Amino acid sequence: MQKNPDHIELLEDKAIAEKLFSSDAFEGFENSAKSVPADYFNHFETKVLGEINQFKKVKPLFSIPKWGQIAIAASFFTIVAATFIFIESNKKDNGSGYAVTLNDITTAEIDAYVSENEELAEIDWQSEINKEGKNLETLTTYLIQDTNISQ
Amino acid sequence: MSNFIDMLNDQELILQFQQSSNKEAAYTQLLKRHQQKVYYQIKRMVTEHADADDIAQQVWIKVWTKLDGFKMESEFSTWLFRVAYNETLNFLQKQKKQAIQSQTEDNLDYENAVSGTDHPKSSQIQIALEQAIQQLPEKQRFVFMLRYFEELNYEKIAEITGTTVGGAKANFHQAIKKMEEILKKD
Repeated sequence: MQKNPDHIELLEDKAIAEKLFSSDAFEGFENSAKSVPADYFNHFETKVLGEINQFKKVKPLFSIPKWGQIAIAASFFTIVAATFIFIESNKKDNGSGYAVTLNDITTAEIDAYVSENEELAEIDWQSEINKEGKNLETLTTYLIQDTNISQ
Repeated sequence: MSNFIDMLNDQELILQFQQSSNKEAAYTQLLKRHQQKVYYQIKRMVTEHADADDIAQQVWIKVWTKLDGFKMESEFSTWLFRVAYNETLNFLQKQKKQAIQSQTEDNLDYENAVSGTDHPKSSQIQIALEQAIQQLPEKQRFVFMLRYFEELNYEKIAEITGTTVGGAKANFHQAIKKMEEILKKD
């Protein structure tokens, strides 16, 4: 009967090991590896299944399904993209896009603006003076006198 | 139901696990079939029952969580031993870190353990063998155990330990050489 070459190689390997230590030593080692508490293997299955059931009960606090994760990622990307576009368009606005130079405004428009604002400034002054209970004339007199004192 | 499950081979049980809502029956059958081999291989590596028990439980929990993704590219037993190999190595590496702090204590504990009441029939040569085995690097030790005690061929050992066939053979012979050196030294 011809033996399988793999089996022959295995026997050779075992023989090398047994030449160093006796086959009895290996048998003794194996016996101690196989010594287990009584009924250990009968209870092992129950123990493992108990662990698995506990493990199944402990669910993560926030379990997000796959589609939810994709939706969150998409929203995040949209926000980032929108912010980027907004910042970029603002940059354009502040540049030459909508800027008006002094040459674009006519002299008449400038005059009108200045005169309107002069009136506004006067109104403001008068309202402030009125708050203090004085009128513009008394204040002017006071200022003239004050100038004389300092001179 | 139980008889039907008993008749299925590993591959059919895995399909049952992957496809059916009653995963537990298929899983339990796989566990019953392979639990002893897995435990013995781990125990050869760690010697203490409590440690072997912890690692074996971790292995089977991992099998539960990963079996849905098992693609049948290798035999279930090969894959199972690979899971056991990874878990055992993780454990030994953690243990090694702790042992560095109390090395002398551990040596004394080990000597007491191998010659103590747990091994009543320990002869001098068996103690020498156990000490030599414990001094082997983890990978060589695992390969040696798979070859000598589980009588696996080198193709399977290579698959389990994530190496080549030549690498697995080299690991076995290096283990023998190292044990010889340890024996001569003692």
